[in-house]
Formats: sequence, C-alpha cells, structure tokens
Amino acid sequence: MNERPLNVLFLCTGNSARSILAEAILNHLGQGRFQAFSAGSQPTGQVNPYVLDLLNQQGLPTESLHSKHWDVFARPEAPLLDFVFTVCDNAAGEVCPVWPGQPMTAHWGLADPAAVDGDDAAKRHAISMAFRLLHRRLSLFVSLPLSKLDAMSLQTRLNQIGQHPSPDQ
Amino acid sequence: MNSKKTVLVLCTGNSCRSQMAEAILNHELADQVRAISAGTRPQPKVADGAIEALKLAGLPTENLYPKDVDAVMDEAIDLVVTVCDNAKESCPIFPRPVPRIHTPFHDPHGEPLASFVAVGDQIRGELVAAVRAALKL
Repeated sequence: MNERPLNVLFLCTGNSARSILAEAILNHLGQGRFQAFSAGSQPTGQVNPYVLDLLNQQGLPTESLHSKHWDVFARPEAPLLDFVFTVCDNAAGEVCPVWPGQPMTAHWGLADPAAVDGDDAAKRHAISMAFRLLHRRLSLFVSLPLSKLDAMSLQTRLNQIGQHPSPDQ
Repeated sequence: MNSKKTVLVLCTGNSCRSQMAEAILNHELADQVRAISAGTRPQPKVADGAIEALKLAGLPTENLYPKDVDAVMDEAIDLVVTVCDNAKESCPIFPRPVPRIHTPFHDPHGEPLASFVAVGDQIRGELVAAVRAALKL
C-alpha cells in the first residue's frame, strides 16, 4: 500500500474538456489511491460548460476544476508526479508536449470533443462519448496491479490502455 | 567565479536545430553564456548537414552529440529555449521552474545543406537576440 496517493497529471492543449474529464473521473475512480491533476499547453482559461454539465449530472465534483498552464506543475511547490498522460489528438495534428524526467508517461490520445461542430445535442453527445472512453481507460488504469508490475510491463500496459478504441469503433 | 549563464536548448531529436543553436550561442555569446542542448527522442548522431553548416560558419563541432533531456535535468539552468515547431511536433516540457522562451525553427532534417545553412542564419539572427533579451545581457 502506498503511503501517499499516486499523483497523475493529464495534459492536453486547452485543458478545457478531455484532460478535465480525465482529472474528474480519476479522482472519483481512484478512491483516494490516486490524486489527479490536469493542465494544458495553451489553456483556454475556461472549462467547457458541457463538460461541467455532464460531470454534475454524473454526480462528480467540479468545484476544483479549472483550466491552467502546465507550468503550474513545474514549480517547486508542485506535487511530485508519478504519472503523466497526454490526451491530445495527434491524429488531428494536435501536438502533445513531452514531459521528461521520472514520471511514467503514456499517450492516451482522443479526439477533442469540444471541437465538434453542430447543435447543442451534438456537442453534449461528443462530450459524453469522450467521458465514456476516458472512463473505460481509467477503469483499466485503476485496476492495474501497480505493486506487482515492473517498469517495463507497466509501460506496456499503460500504452495498451491508450490504444483502447473509442466507443464509436 | 564563473558568471556564465547556462542556456538549455531543447527540441525533439537533438540532431539539427538544437545542436546548431548550441554551437552558435556558445560562439556568439561566448563570454556570457554556456549553451547545452538535449532532446526528448535523441537521434543516434548529429545530422551531417548540421555539422557541415557549422563548419562552413567556422564553428567547432567536436563536442556536439545528441542526448536525452533526462541527462541534463539536474544541471543548474538559467534559461530554457525550445526550438521545435510545436504546430508540427511534440515540444518537450522542462518540468522545472526555469524561465523559458520558445523560438521555433524549421526542421531541416533530411534536406540539402542549403536548408541547414539557412536555419543556421535564422538561429544566428533571431535566437541570439532572443537569448540576450531573456537573460538581459
């Protein structure tokens, strides 16, 4: 058993939808074993309102969620990170920053649900699909036998989680 | 006492731009700056075009070799410069509270010598001034 929760940072571009969803989901699923954070390389400064709606509907707390730059986590007082996951969509030409150093990292890309064109219902649907995809990946993540995996097996498992297909596929 | 400021130049492969930047900064700002470079996915060697372009400019290339960012994480660094084109490639984050500037340059990897020479000229023109300004030299 770990003495402190494992700190997990989710990175995307805007820190408005995907990484925020991941933070909220993991803080819920992690049940104190994980402490999740999120940041962006070009934060929009505002959490996507559809994301807040969905999280509220799901009964997940949203008070502490805010859109911020990754440099918050480069400061001396920042939490020591155990995992850094990038959730931007390389396939769409979005480029994820690379976080060097000691944390375990993996790319868990998904399409930006906030970039979907369409009416209110289409936007809510996109956010909801992203929520489901991240929820599946994070359910897999929290059920990994972390204490039993060596670094290389853990990296393989983390990469596999990132390959987990979207619910549409 | 050594009052030189250490500048870390970061890109992805640490094979072309960041190596040229390291050599050019060390030459142009020799009395004030010690430049080092690293990448998040270091290539096996510095690009031949980069070496040739530097030699054409009369700069030493012996100490240039690609290395991972992890190799320089513990150095005392005064300024981080990212030279990657973050619209096209994954720029490294330097997860320490160090001032940083971003001056993207085209990646000449795989292109003729003329491209390396052109990037070298840009680095000399833009990066040296940007580093001077950032370090208030």
